[in-house]
Amino acid sequence: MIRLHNIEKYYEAGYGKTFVLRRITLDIKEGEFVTIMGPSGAGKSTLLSILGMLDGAWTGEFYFAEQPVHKLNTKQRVEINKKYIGFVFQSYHLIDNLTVYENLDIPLSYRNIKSAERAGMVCDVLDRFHIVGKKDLFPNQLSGGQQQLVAVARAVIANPKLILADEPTGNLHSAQGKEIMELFKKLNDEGTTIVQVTHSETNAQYGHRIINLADGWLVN
Amino acid sequence: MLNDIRYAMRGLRRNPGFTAIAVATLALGIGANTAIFSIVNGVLLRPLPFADPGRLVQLNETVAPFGIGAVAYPDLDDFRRQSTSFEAMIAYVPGSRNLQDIAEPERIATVAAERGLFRMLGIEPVAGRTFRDDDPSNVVVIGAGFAKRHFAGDPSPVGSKITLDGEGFTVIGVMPDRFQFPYRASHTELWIPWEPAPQWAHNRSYHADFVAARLKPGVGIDAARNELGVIAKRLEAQYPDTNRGRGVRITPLSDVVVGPVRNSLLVLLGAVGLVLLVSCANVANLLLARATARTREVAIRAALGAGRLRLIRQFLTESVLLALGAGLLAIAMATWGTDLLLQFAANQIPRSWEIGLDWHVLEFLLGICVITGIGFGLAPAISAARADLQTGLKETSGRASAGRGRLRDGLVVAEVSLAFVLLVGAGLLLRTFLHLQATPTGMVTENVLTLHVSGGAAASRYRELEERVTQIPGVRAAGFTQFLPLQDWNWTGHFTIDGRPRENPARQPVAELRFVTPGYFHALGIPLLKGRGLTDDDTSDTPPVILINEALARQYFPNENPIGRHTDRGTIVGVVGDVHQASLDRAPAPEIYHPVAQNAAQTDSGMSLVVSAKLPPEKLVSAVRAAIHEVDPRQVMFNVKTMQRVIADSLSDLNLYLWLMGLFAGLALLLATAGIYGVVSYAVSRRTHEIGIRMALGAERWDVLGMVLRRTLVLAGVGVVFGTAGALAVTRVLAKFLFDVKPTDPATFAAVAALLGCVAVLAGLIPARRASGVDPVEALRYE
Repeated sequence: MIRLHNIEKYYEAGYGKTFVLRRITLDIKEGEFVTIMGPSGAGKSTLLSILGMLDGAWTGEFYFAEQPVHKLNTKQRVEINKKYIGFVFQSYHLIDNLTVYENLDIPLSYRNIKSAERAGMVCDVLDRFHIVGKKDLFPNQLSGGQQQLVAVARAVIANPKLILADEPTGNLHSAQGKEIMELFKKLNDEGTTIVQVTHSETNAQYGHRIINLADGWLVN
Repeated sequence: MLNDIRYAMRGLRRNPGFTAIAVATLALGIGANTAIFSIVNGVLLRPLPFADPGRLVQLNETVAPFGIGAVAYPDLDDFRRQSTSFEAMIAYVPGSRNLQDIAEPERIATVAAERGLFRMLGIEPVAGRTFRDDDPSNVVVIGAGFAKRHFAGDPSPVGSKITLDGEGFTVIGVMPDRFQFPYRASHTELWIPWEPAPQWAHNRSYHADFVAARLKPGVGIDAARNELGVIAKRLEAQYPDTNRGRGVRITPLSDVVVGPVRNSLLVLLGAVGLVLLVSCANVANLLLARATARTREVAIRAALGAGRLRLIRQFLTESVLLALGAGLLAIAMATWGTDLLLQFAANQIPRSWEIGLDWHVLEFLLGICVITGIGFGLAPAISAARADLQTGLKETSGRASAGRGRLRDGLVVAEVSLAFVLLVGAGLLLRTFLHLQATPTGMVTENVLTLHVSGGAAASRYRELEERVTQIPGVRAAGFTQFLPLQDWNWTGHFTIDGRPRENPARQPVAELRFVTPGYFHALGIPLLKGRGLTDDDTSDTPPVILINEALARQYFPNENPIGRHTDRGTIVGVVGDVHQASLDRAPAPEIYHPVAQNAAQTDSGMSLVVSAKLPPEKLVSAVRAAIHEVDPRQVMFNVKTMQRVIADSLSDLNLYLWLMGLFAGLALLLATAGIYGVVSYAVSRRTHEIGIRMALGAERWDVLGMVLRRTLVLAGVGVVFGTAGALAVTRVLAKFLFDVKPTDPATFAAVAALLGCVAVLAGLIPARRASGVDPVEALRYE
């Protein structure tokens, strides 16, 4: 599903370059649950942003579902993002002034889905994640675990083939974290490819394999 | 309080950008208000500069169907004898004379007045004396300006001689610099004694041009009106032939002077008040943004024991200081603005020479500074003082609360609404102006030169002048008329048609009277529709003839041929096309054209020459002057204008009004645009994180752009809705200034709404582009 070859990312810094990622070559197959680990500043989140098409300033070759992302323009990359990818963030990133229902509706609204169909999809996800009773609440009226649950629900609502999760349990206590990880496991079992960034060894165990990064390099 | 002022000044100094923008924005509003108020103060509020001016009135007689008119001289005498309400009644005749025996003869505005004029006004001269009852008629009181111009080196011109239209006058006094009576467009510089000709004393058809009067102390205007009403009734019974239907009107002199511009000035003051409100809303928005950024500071102050009122006071001190700073700048702007306005429009504003900054204006300025300072500062102050202490202490940069956001949106909506009202006002005036400009005048005005030739020549001399001017190469035709069209002048008279029953005066046919030479119609391209034009054969020795216009033919000869019909004013020999004589917004009235050759007395005040040329008329001026001097070297020529200038001048009041309204609407639009930009820009900066999330979730550049622009359009749209309601309520006051446009003209409303929509999109485009360029990775990291 994902094929990276010699991906590099750097910033111009004075007279030289500061590399964030160095020669990353990596394959992720469809249906895999991959964990990216490494110390802070290793380039984990940056790699995740590149995989999610949020970051376009890199060099190397990147194939997503056999499409050469490195040859695509921004619009085409956004299309891939919309079609295949869902995001889960450490700090949930729900929109404060929208209700749970409206937060779930956002990704669908960007995919030109008709409102009646969207309503059906949102209700389906609310039901699937057992948050129907919370649909009219605002994010600040939910606990951290509930907010992340909504964030995961939002990530899967458009039926992505790939979920990218950046420290999804980082702000949660262990019970809530476990619940979320079980959810990811379930989604993966149902066929969704998952790439997560985590510092937690426990969470890493949910994945099929672990990729380690250090100072921007891929290490075994 | 001193501490508050010190902190406030320090705070403002530390934010020079904010302070400069806020002061400049407020100064625009306060300066414009001060400029217009200084005009309102000089024109409307300041009493006329005469002794006890509240007792001065103007007398007129009313006669159906003409309405208001001049007082018949014998009637005036009867009023004087029989009335007990007045100290004095003075007849006067405004005019102009040629000042001769100087290098270049000059036309001077004069007033011939009964000798009690200055005593009635209660004004003393700065040199010499004013009229005495036993003064001969060849004395003159001169204005200070005239004295400076013509007797510059002479410490006292009293006793000097001047020549007016060939007649010698002795200067007996010099009036103070700003003295002016009566108030009229041309600045009067000479006052000469006047008494009615002996035949006036008993002929009630002779009218004194104007009559000013002074009420006795303690006599109200209503009591005087009642008394003169009774006397008029008595005269009506006594002289039914001449006085049937005559009444008296008494108008306070101040109303006569400023009445015509009162409404315009008050509407302008209202308009400029709206501009100030827009300025205030803009600065309130800036202060709200600043209050958000200062949430932490406020929280710390509160934590250290500052009460809510104390915090509000601190914020208000800042806003009042801002307003006072703006006030200082506004004085300069108002002075400059007023001078500029008077430079272009002094002739259109009565008492313009009395306009200036005085203590009333400064009090007004101080008042609006304090009121606006508190007005725009109160909401941000309360908003800041109500901020949550705990949250505030946690904030590092401050984050807008929903309530504060709504307030800011509300202020922008208010700005757009106010700008909408002003733009609709300006739009309606613009449409009126365009309609008037497009109104067919009934004349050919291209390549037509006009000028006024002073009186004193025999009627036959005008025909001679006409012929001489026509011979100038490049001249197509030339003719004289007593008054050019579009001078806001009318002279109405009765006429009777032979063979029709004689009606009482109220029902007798009425027409505007014009006195012209034969070439006039050709020179102005006024078509002859029936019969013949005037010719050289129509002389004082031949039976009187007249031409009538289409409107008269339509009204009084609807189903018959008027040619050959006899009237008491002459036989109708031709019908000519209608011309807008009084003004472009009034339909042509029935008119009678008399040949000057048969009405020599009508040339006393001179005649206006109309020259139709084959080349740009400006090129003919010197040739026409030379030709006239060739025929009569004593003639003085003035008011040299093209006919198109004459038409433009007839629209100059509306033009000025339109410019000012347009200026204020433009200012409001500019401020509202800045307001929209500020609010949207601020909202974008506050929503960077949210925009990042949306982009991570699949929002494209256009989605973000659309989201921001939608918000901009919603703000503008709500503003337009409120503005429409406001404009519907307010534009009615403009009804009397409009022509062929309703105050609720849908096209104007729609055009202004579209304009505001476009401006809102432009104002929102920069922040929207910024928003759509947000890097989601950075935005999410920003959290």
